[in-house]
Amino acid sequence: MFAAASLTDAFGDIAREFEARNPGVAVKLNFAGSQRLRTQLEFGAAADVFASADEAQMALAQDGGLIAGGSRPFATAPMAVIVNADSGINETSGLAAPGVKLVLAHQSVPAGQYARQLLERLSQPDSGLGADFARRTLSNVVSEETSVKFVEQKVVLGQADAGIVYRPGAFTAAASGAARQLPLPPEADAVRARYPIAVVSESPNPQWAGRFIEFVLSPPARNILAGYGFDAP
Amino acid sequence: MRRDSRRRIEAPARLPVLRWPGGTGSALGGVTGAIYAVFIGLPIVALLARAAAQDDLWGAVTGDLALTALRLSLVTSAISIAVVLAGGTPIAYALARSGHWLARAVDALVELPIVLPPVVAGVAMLMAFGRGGLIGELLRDAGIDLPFTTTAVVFAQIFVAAPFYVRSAKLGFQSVARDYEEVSLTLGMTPLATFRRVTLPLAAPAIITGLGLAWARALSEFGATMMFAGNLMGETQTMPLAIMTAMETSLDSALALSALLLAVSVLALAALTLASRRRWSGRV
Repeated sequence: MFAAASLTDAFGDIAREFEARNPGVAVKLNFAGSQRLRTQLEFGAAADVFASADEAQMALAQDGGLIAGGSRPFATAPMAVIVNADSGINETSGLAAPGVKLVLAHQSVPAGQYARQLLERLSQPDSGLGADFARRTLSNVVSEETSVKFVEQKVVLGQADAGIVYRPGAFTAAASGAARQLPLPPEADAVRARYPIAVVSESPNPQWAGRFIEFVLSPPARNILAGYGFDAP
Repeated sequence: MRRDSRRRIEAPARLPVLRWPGGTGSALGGVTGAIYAVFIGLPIVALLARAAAQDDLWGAVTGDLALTALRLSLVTSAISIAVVLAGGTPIAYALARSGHWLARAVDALVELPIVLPPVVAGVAMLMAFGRGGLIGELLRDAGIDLPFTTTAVVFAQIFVAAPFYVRSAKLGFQSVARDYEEVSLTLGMTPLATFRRVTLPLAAPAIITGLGLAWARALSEFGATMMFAGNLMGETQTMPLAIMTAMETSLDSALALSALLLAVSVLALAALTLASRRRWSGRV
């Protein structure tokens, strides 16, 4: 089971539930950035299912013949801004204040692209943050991480003041007590990660792979995903 | 390797060399040597071959990402090694000569960073020097904000690389018999001159080996840097971080950067070996 890093907690629960319903089946999970998982598949890593945080990575995998049949969307997640509890930032406009240490995922990572899209969206007139909001905020970036998990970590550890992550990641970060999620204006909801899932063409257990995907799309798994902050597709 | 250099210094010709009897030994050595060469060599050959096979290798190794990261890597690792050399040499000498319990305690501490996974080292440094760290507040009051700075990169490199130098230099100093130093002192040389003209040349091979190891470790440092210094082009993105970043978009570009790092390291280490041989050959 190859799944995007942002699915770590939710897929852990889903896999346990699937195992409980199918005695004798053991689900092995491998989490990493979607683009890294795709690279591993290209080099012949044995996997049954690929769950990506990004339609582009899934499309690349399909073009490369790595995927059997089509992919199915199973979840979406809006972006969220998290701030360290001691940062003193209480609203979105605070991200652009001089001296704020902001951490984003690198542009090459889906979360990094969504983060930049979010800032662009928030620079539109309707948000009232100013047309140069994205530019001023981006000038506060002190690090571009290769995984969205590192963004969460740096904010939770207090090394950075703020970071842009997926909402499920923001839930996890806030649960630690060291970080808070910043309320965003409603238009921010438009910028979303879309998660597709598919059977890998070289899958050693295609039947079980198909059943696992059916389970991910079923109401019990949807509930688990919702509990971690994912929305239905 | 360390034992080798020590043996060489003490008495090159007289010490018995450990060897399996007769032809069995050389046959066994030949076979394991061949396996070893394949094991180490094949991945490197594969990396270079795949890197060379891409359309725009030259473009990738002379691109902005590569050159900015390479410059940062060379500058930071040079500073780190200068600090390690200046600070580590007296420590290594003291550890080699002193039997004090404190020295023994430091001796045990020195090697700790080698067993620590670098990512953990980075987190530990954060907890010490970062914001909210043990002395983070103190540093902040003094106007020093380490995380996400080039200084943090140097800190991380020193942390992981220094043990390799101190260890090697200590063994080098231990291999210099006290008698030589004492003779020099009775002949009227000052302690400093004795160190410079007797101890240092005799310990030089081990010192240079240590420097090479420490520099290579500093140059390849990734985990601690990523945790403690972050990843920003031109500020904290050294070659290993640039390679990881490139890997997210294009494996080819990551391989090109790896080949560049490999080439620069091999050249630098070869130059160090050559220079040391020339410098010390007539002296020992």
